[in-house]
Amino acid sequence: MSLCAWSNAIVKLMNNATIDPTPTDWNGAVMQKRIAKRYAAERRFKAMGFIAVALSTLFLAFLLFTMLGQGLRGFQRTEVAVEFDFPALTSGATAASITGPNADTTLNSMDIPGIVELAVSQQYGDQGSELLTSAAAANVRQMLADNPQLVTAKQTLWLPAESRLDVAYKRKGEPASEKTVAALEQKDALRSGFNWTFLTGADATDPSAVGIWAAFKGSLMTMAITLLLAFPVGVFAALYLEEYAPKNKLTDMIEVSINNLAAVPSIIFGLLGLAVFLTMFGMPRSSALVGGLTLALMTMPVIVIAGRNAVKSVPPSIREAALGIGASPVQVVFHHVLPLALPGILTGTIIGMARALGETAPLLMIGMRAFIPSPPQGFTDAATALPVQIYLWSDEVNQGFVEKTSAAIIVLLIFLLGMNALAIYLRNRFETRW
Amino acid sequence: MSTGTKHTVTAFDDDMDEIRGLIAEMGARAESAVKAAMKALGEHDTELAAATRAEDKIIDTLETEVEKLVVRTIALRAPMADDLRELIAALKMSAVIERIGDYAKNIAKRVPQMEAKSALAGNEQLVRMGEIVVEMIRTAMDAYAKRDIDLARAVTARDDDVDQLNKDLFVDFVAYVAKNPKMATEVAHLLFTAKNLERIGDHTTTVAQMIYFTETGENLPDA
Amino acid sequence: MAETTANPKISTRNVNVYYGEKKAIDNVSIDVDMDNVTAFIGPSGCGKSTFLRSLNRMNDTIVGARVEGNILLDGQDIYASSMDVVQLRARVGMVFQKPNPFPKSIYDNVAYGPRIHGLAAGKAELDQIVESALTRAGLWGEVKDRLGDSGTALSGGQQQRLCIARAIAVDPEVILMDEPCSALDPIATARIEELIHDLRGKYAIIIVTHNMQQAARVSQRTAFFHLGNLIEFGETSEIFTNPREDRTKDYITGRYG
Repeated sequence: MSLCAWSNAIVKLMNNATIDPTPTDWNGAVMQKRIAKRYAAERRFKAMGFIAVALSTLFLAFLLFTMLGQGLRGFQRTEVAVEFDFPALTSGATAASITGPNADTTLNSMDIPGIVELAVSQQYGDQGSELLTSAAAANVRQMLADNPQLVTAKQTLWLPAESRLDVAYKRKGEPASEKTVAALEQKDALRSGFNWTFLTGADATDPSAVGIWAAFKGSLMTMAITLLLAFPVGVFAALYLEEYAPKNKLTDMIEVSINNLAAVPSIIFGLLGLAVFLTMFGMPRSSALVGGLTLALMTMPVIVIAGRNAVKSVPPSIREAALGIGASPVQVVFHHVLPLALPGILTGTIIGMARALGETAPLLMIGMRAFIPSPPQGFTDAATALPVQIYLWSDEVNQGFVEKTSAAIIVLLIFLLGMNALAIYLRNRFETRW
Repeated sequence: MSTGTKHTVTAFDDDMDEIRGLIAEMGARAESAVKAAMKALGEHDTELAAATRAEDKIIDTLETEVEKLVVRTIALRAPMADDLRELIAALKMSAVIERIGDYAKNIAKRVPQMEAKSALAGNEQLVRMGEIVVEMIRTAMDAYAKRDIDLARAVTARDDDVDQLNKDLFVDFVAYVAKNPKMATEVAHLLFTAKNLERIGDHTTTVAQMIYFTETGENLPDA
Repeated sequence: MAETTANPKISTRNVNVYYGEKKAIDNVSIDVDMDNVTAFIGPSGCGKSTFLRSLNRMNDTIVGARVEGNILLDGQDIYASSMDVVQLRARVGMVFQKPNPFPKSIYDNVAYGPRIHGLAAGKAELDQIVESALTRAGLWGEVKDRLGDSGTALSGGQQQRLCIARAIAVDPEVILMDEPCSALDPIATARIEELIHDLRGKYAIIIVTHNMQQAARVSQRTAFFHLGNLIEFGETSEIFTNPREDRTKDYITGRYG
């Protein structure tokens, strides 16, 4: 029997190998040198690793430090105290007239911008109106709507200062503005307040009146479209490719294509979106819908790849167990494979979504770079997204936009951080060990 | 064995070889013990008789040795098929050969109790019986060494001759005692000797049967 | 070599199994009945697991696997187009080498099969099926107070008995076991063997094992495979004391690589 002869030969070999072993001198000089060398190599490797980590930490710290240093100011605004003699200015409007169902019409008829300008010029001279930002009138209107009682007496209201003044108050501004600031400070007519407008407002030409909410909402809507499209399609594609697709040339080609697609520069997807969704299907330019579709194209391959890996990592023994008691292939997939792969798929999805969230180029291609002065109300409204807004603001010449850009970046980073935290949470929560 | 290949675990083969060697030694010793006992009887050699009795002790020791080894091998190697059969056969054979040694000792023990130069001790049929039994043992051990079932079968065939001789001898001796009542003791000793030889023949047959069983896995059909 | 029994549960005739071009099983004909535990033994790569997996068409999942010849379950060809593979696998259950409970609760592990096959009318009936399956698998006493715990939290031996309970729960006629004890310690192994002994007669049991002692202990009939051929098939007591074929003898006496 050949197998037998073979095994006997192995036995013989093994016997020969153990015959007459020369005892190893573990304490000899050569051995000691070898040990020392090994330890040195280990220390070198550790040191290099430490340096690499330290370097990247340093870069990260620098980024965060700069962002926070600049950006935190973006969440603050400079306010100027303005005295309003409402009974005189409004020629005797009553609290009752601006409450109730007719409040809006009354307020509209009051010419609040004129009132504000009058009040400011009474107090600070003819140039007074230049102290305030263009949104000041809207602020006053909001204050009156919130608290009608204000209209019955003389009030001192703190209104957002004009951008150049804002810059000069916070740090070094233009000499003229610095002078104004000094003058106002002497009168105690300047203070810093939290800039709610930044969180609730939309884009504006005046940096002190801009807000991030429109872009944030645009991003959320875009992401929603992306998730709705890319997640199911990506997951089903991954499941089909792993569980059902016959192993042949075509499948191999699809696999290579998907891997390639994940590496295609995002601007190409932008061009594709432009050509297909806008030109071919005539969808509304600059809308969250088109943005979401375009980003979905980009995110899908990432989800497919992550999904396939997650599906692949489900042990075959689980599939066999289910098949062995008579589960059909679909039952195997939906009862066992998908639930076990879900944490991995979700992690991959969120990482893909985070990438899409930070994407600018494809959105620029489909026209999401327009000036959007109010938050989008629907998926087909013109919208912008956070990274695009950041890109647009960073292009502005006005000094006031610098800190707004940084502040927007902070918002974007917090958003990303939140998404990654969610990914980690989901992974830990649903991960099954066996 | 029939394929002649060795076990993957060669220590198993070493154990088996050791047991085989011990059985072969027991057989050889038993054979010469029977031979010596018959010689001592025929020549009234009390010294040789004493030596034969001492030989039995050695056979006893060997049996214990085989038993120990077989038990150890079964426990440690978990033998199967022909290995298992061979070990079981070895256990039984060692016990049987030990009995042969005992019978040789019995015969030797009678030598001092007999009268010197008894004419009866040289009885032709008794001597013949002794010769056949010794030959049976030799053949059996040969069959064992060569794993030869034909030789084993031949051994069992010879046993019938021994039985026949034993019966003839009984009739002759009884007739003899009737004529010479004074010789009753002598005859009784010799009758027992013949009986012992007959038993040795039976045991040798058992050895042959064991060899046959080891090789074929079946019992030797009655001839 | 066709070894026939009066009343076979599974009978195979001239079965060949191919993996692509390679012939893994060559012309095997064998009968398995309800009253005996049948053991498949043989060296690694001899095809015994392949053959076992063709008996409930688990080979279907392997690309390029192909079966020729007839495999009959109660006289019905399991590779016929009229045979539903899902139903077949419910009738011919399988226990695998590595214990593979689902990462679900003990209860859900056992209840899974009855649920997908709709074997229980309500919660009470399902409870009863689960209890009876766990009891027959000798696990009920150990887990009755923690049916909600994860099946993967059990010890290896308990996991394997859970897998047996899971197979039993769909009320199969045949149970295939592919080296069920190779990952278990001797005590857990002994408990599985005792379980196999208890299940004998209720199900036709086929066990593939590397451990010849185990085959000798649990089976009444043993088939020896070598290089894809069925070399010898017969009474276990006969195979282990007096095999007819030299190749069987060399294998079981340890004269083989």
